[in-house]
Amino acid sequence: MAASNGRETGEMKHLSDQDLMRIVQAGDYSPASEIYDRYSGRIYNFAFRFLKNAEAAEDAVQEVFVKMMRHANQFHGDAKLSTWLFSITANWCRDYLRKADNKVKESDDVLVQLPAPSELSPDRSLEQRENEQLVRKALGLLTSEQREAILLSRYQGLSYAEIAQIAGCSEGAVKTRVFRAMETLKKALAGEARGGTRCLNVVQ
Amino acid sequence: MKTRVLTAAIVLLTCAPAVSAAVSRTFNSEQQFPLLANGTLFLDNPAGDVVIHGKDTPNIEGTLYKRIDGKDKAAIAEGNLFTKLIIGGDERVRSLRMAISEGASQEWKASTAWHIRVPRTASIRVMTRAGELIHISGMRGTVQVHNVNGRIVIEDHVGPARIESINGSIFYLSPAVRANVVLTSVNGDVTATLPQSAGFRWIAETVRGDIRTHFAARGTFIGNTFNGSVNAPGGPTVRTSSLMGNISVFAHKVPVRTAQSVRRTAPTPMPVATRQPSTQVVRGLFKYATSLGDVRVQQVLGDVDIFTGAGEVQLGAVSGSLNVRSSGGPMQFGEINGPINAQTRAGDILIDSARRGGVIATQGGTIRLLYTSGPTRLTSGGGDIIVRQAAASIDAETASGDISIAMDPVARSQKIDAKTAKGNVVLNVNAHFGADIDATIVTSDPDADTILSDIPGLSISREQVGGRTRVRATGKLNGGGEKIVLQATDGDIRISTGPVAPTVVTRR
Amino acid sequence: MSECSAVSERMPLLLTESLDATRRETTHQHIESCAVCSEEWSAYKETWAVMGDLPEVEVPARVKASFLARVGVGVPVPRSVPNNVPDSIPDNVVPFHKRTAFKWVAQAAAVAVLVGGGYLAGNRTAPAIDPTPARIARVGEYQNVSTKPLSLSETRVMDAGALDPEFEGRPNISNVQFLDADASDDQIAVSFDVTSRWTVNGNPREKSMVRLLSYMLENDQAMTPRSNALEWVRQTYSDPAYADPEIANSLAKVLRNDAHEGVRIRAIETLSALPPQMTVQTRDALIDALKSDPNPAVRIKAVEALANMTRGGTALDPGMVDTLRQKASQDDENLYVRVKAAEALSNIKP
Repeated sequence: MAASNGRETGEMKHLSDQDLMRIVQAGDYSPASEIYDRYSGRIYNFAFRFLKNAEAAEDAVQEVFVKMMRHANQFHGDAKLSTWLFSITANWCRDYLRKADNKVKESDDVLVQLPAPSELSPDRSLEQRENEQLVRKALGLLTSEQREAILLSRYQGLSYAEIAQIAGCSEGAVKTRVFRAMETLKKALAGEARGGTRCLNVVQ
Repeated sequence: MKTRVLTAAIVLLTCAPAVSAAVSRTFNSEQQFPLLANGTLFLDNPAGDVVIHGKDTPNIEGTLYKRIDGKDKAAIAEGNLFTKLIIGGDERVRSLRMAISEGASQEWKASTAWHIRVPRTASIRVMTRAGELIHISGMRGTVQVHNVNGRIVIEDHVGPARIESINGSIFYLSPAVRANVVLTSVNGDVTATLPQSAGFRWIAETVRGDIRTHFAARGTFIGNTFNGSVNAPGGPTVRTSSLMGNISVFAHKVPVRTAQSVRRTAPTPMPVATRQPSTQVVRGLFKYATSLGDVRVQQVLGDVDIFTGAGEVQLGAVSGSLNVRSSGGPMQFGEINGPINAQTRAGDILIDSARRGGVIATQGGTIRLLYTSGPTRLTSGGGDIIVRQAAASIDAETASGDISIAMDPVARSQKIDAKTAKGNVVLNVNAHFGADIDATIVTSDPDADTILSDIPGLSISREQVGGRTRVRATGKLNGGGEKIVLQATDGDIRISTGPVAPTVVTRR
Repeated sequence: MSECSAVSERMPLLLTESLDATRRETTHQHIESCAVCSEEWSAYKETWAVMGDLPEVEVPARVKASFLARVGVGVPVPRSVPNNVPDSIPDNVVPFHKRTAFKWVAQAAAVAVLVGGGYLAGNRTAPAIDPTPARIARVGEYQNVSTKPLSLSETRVMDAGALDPEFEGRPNISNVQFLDADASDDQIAVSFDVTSRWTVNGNPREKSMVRLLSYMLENDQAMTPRSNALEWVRQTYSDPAYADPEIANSLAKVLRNDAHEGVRIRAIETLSALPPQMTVQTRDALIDALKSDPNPAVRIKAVEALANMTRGGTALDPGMVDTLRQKASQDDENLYVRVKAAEALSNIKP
């Protein structure tokens, strides 16, 4: 379908986020697919690891991108689109958790729904797959603010300033959350090399 | 072999500080770090001289002279605090870096001079920005040096070398060529002194400078690069390059002045101008060729024939014909009485008046022709074409850019061809101008663009051709006249009778 | 051992490389020399590495499909095209199809009606300024000046100060004219069509004026207005009194993005004409143009501008020095560009 503003969809790849958003702000939704392709992976991974629920994460992605399109005018060109999208996502996830029956289910059904890691990437070693389980369990030991902060820092590579914007707190608070998260994770994960057993019953 | 340029003395200082220094203090410190015989030293010294001697020693050892110039003692104290030596690595790979911390005020200026000995067979890599001298001697490992300003002297070195400077001169003296050596500077001279019996491949390139040597080098020139061999084919490669400076490859113990220019023995296209001619008036034919150089002449009472490989050409008035070709550089001409053939491979062309028209071409750049009274062909590989007042036929073509042609106000009819592969075409005529028009726009915009004419008489057709829209306007203006063909792709075409905007030009 | 706890707190920052060079150095130095912190740092690094074993998961394709369906992409949206065609069109003219114009945020505060005397018309005599605020059609005068038939029922005029510098939507601006009725004062005017014709007059320094011109420079309109806007900007904003970094940035954007070479060449000409402190901010655009613009005239102008800057004493950062050095040594670059690059480098003072 030729984009109604005369641009071929192939050209969208070369446009910046700001340009694409401007097109959307002008009422032309044709960049939707390109923007989705650029950011859906990150949004999904963040939501999935935060909520520990694939279905909820899928809903999150949809809601976030629909909101992005419909409220495109709230986006100011000099901000980063990714920061804005993560903000929307974090808000949505927090709202989701607040609803009574949506407490985080550390469910092994999650594992069942996804293809087993060995199917995803046969070259992942046994150790990597074991570590994956440990990391998931360790992340479950964190408070939701700490988990949000460490997911955004470690896995999405965002700066503390950006995380502060997304989480709605100060940079100092982000620093503390990350530090405390790392302390917990360190206790849970580092120790294998020293031959010690990993103690996952660490209480904050 | 010692030449005047060598200095074995301890070099304390460096560049004059920009800050008005009322006070100055130098802090010495002795440094010692172990380094293996086959270890590597990275030395990063932004400001200050570096002197390194290769010795039989297991260490990097010597003295660091940190000099701070400041407006008062407090400034010096701050300067000292903010200028730090950062040490990294171990005895296999050691990195020493002078760093100036952020947050420093600008009331002081720091520079550090190094005077150190290192294991002879170690590899060293030295980087500086501002300093008067880098002097390295007695090394047998790999030597790499980078600087911006300042002289580089490498003495008694055998082994791989890569010496790069921007504005500084390089002197490289070696008792034996056993590995590849690369010496390059952008603006400075490059000089190598090698044993008479050395056998190596020699590549020398310079655009403005000369290439001189004692050696009988057998080779060829391709463009500005000489590629040859010395004493025997094969062997390691010595590459000496300087864009603007001279290249010299001397033999030890032979008087410098007996070196010969390679350019004399190898065929070169043309002489290099060492000084650009900048004359007021030339009488008779002005014929000039240079591989690099600007040409500026105010007036030529005769014909002109100029070639420059790279440079600006500026001519005021020419009473005869004008033939100018350049491989790169802008052109600016005043009143040219005879036919013009002006071609540049890159750059704008500005001509005040072309009385007999001619051919004006650039492969990339804007063409501005303020007046022409002879048939003129203008082509650009990318850039606008502007003809401010045309009293003769015009054939204009650009690969990308607007074409804007204004006819002489009293012209009744004129043949015009204007074609742009990406841009608009604007033709300005008076209200009584007669012509047979054939104007075509091809565009991918489905809301197709416009062909506008202030003079009635055109009919428009529109069709889709392979995903593109083609709009064509044909007809006769004011009853008809000469044939005018206008083509614009992804742009508009306009035939206007309104007043013309003055053409804004920047004179060089 | 409070240093250790401070260092310990900084370890996550070290992992994310968010510390400045000095702090990083001093932290590492402490770690290297403190057994306790060393051990803790190893543990941190190991934890960080193990965390990396959490794999990235793929978003199921159905999510995208639902999303696109919900926002209606893939379904042709009927759009109404307003008929902005003037009343009396000669029948040899195929009119523009104007795109839907969007909300133009402006507070009406008509100050004066500026008529005639368009700069583009080559006529700089001062026109009569009618002080009565009005939405009066001065169709007669406009027809003398414009090179296109314009018959609009209304002309709206406003003061730049009353114009909100934030544009909502993306107004489609066309038929731009620049007016400098009186060269001796510092008032200029810009006229354009957005559903109807507006004239904004004010001081070039006003943010709204700057914004308006930046918008015109950057937006995808017909090329001619953009070229004219460029010429106009060069005239007006090379005066140091009016120089504005936003204009410089808009020019830089045009230089970076415009597909039309003529436009890029003019943009860089204009950039070079701006006062030096402006071009410092757009150095990056000049360097990028030198590095990779396909048109040699643009590269020539970029390197000439850089040579002028260094001659005037502007300092170059190492990245720029490197680009110039590479250009000077690049065999397949036009020799004139190489020589100018060498010239720019030769101006670097120790």
